[in-house]
Amino acid sequence: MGEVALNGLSKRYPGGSDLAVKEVTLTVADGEFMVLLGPSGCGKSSVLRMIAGLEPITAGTVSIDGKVINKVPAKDRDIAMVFQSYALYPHMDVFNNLAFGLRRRSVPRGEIERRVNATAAKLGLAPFLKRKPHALSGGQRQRVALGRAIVREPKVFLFDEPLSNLDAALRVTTRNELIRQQYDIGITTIYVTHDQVEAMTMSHRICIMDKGEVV
Amino acid sequence: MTGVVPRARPWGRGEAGAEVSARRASLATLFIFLAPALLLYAAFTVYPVLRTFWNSIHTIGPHNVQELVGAANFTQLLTSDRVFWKAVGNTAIFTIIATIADVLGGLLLALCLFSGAPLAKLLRVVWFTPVLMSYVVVGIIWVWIYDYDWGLANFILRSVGLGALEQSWLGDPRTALWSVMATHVWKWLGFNMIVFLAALYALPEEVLGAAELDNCGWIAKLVYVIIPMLRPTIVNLLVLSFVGKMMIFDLVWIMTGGGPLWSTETVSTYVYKRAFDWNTFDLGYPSAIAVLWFIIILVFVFAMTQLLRQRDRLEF
Amino acid sequence: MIGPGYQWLAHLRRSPLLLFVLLYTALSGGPFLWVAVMSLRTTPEIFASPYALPSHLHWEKFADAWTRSNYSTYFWNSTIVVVTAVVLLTVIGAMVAHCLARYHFRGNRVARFVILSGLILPPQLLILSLFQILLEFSLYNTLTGLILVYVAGHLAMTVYILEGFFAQIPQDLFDAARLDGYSDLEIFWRITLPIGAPALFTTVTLNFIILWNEFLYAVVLLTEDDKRTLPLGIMHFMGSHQLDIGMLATGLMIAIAPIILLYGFFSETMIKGMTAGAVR
Repeated sequence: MGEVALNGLSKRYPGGSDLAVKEVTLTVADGEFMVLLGPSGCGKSSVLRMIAGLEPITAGTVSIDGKVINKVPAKDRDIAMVFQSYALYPHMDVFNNLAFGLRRRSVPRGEIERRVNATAAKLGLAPFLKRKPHALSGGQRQRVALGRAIVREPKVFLFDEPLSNLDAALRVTTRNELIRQQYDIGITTIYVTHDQVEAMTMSHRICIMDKGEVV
Repeated sequence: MTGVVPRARPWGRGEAGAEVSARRASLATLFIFLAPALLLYAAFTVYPVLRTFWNSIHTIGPHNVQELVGAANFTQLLTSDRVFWKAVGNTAIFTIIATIADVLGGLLLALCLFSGAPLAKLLRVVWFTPVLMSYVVVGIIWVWIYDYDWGLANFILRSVGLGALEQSWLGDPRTALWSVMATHVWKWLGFNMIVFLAALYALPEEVLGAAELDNCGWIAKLVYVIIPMLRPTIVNLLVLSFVGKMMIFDLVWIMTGGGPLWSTETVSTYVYKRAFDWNTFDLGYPSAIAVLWFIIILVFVFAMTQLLRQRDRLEF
Repeated sequence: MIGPGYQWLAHLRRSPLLLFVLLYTALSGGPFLWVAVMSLRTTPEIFASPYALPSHLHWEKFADAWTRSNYSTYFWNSTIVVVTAVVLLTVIGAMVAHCLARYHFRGNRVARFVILSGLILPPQLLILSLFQILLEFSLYNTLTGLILVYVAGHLAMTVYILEGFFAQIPQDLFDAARLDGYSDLEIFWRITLPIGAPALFTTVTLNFIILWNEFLYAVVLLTEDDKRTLPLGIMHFMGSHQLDIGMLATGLMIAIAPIILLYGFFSETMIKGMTAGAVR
């Protein structure tokens, strides 16, 4: 449940002559924390976005639990993602940011409240539930982004360099947070970063990429 | 380098007498930069406004014969001027409906292009064209389109078998205002479209991606994420459009001159008529109309911005 | 780009979208095409069948309109007025914008308020008094009078746009120039203007289009035929030759042609220029 398999995944951007992602093949086992490590521009974010369904696939397949999901729209893939810029809904308060995805999936009211409050408590966000994102600090926003993903209880977590906008001290503490969460929850996680220390402390396995291919 | 401006002197001169801060300028410099504009402004904007207020409490006859009448103009206006109230009614209908139509329409067009219609770049250019044209051009073309006998509107209706619906669009008091309104909206849709397009492209892509992952189809994304985030733009355009239409003159004047039977008379065409096209020459009365209308516009703009503005900041 | 194309292809929604696109393109461009076609046909031809294509391209009508009906006068009047006004607006507006954006001085807020308040002044509040004022100073029915009114009337918008842009130029550049010994005027000339060129270009475009098409002030302040600007000239012509559709169409084309020509080459600039006040 939650095994992700990439087979020959490739991506060419319109107007680009080269493949940005070249035939990436790898399997992430259920519950595994896999890190995609590489320098800027190596294609790791593109791979992530293709898995999420936010980027069209040029060639190859993405499968979850053996089922090819190339044609499945992003909203039906049961994947949650934490973006580098957090991508919180600026016009909604923290509670609604967390609850939005659940509401859109017609989860009953009571269940939504339970999950949101539990996640908020776990991440120390309970005092901020009525605040809007612009009134939060960087670290708090990051936790809301994380909470939004956790509350969904999806099959797969995707992280796109979530710590790169935080200052050094915060990065360390949040990193430990994430490790602890992943241990608690145990959902398959694919994590993109260019920071080797992050990669080595957090992952079960590391996949190194450069210039679009797995090295 | 000291960079310190000696205290208590607004035009900072440093120790050696030379300018130190680039933020300070001598009186002479300021004068050179500002004088031409302020002079022109004083003569051709500030003074006329003040003079209009002055006029509004007088009767101004030919050869500038003035007679102080106090609030008489305003009383007459508010209590016994049927045409004025008809004009206000027309202007109100025009403003409210045309504003909503062209802001909504502009949003619709922008969404069309944003969501990937083919040839979007070319369409953007073509759809903007009416905005560039003078009211004279637009007015005359649409007078022809609305012509009863050979105009495009009735021609199309007849061709598709809806000949029963053909009208004398500009000649019938019931349809004239709506016809002029349609033309006005036609001219300005492209403007709102461009502003909305710019706003749409400025939306953070990742937030839209997050919405997709949160199980938002196209419509849900639009309703729950895109439109709320566009709120500042929507409010700005509503206010801009509102003010523009409250002052509308050119198109009405060119297409119908305020007729038939005052059905397209707007406050500004009435001001013009009272001043230059009336059996008695008096600039005081139309000045009163202009003053009153200006105050009404200010009140409405203030009310609109207070009501519609975002309570918190919408940063992203 | 968001709104991924590949998801749309799967949607049946494609057909209504295309239909709408076609309809609106016809709606926004069609009327101009119709006028363009009519401008090359004679009035009898048009009345015979208003929507047919020209059987014979009557290019001579353009020459006719130009010479016979005073169009050349209208065109030149418009050119003189608009070019002069735009130049003045740009120079004076830039000076004010630079001053307000750059310098701290006691009257800064007041000056800014006074000038930008022009943005909400309705023309009706001004024209009647301007009518009186121009009469009193013998500027009524003169191109000079109109030019001065135009410049004063559009300063607010010009300053609004330019000031926003100039304020964003990094202060460091000015500090460095000051240290290098440049005078205020030189700083304006050598730094603000070159760096602010895109914004200047924008306001030039905006002002040009607005003033070329301007009607209300012109119709109140110019009544002699040989002073009329183009929009007025066309209206006058419309009044006296209401049924000469062919000629009117040609006249309209003469008015539209410069703008369409410029639009063909500079569409991006013109679009950005016209919407500059509204897009923040």
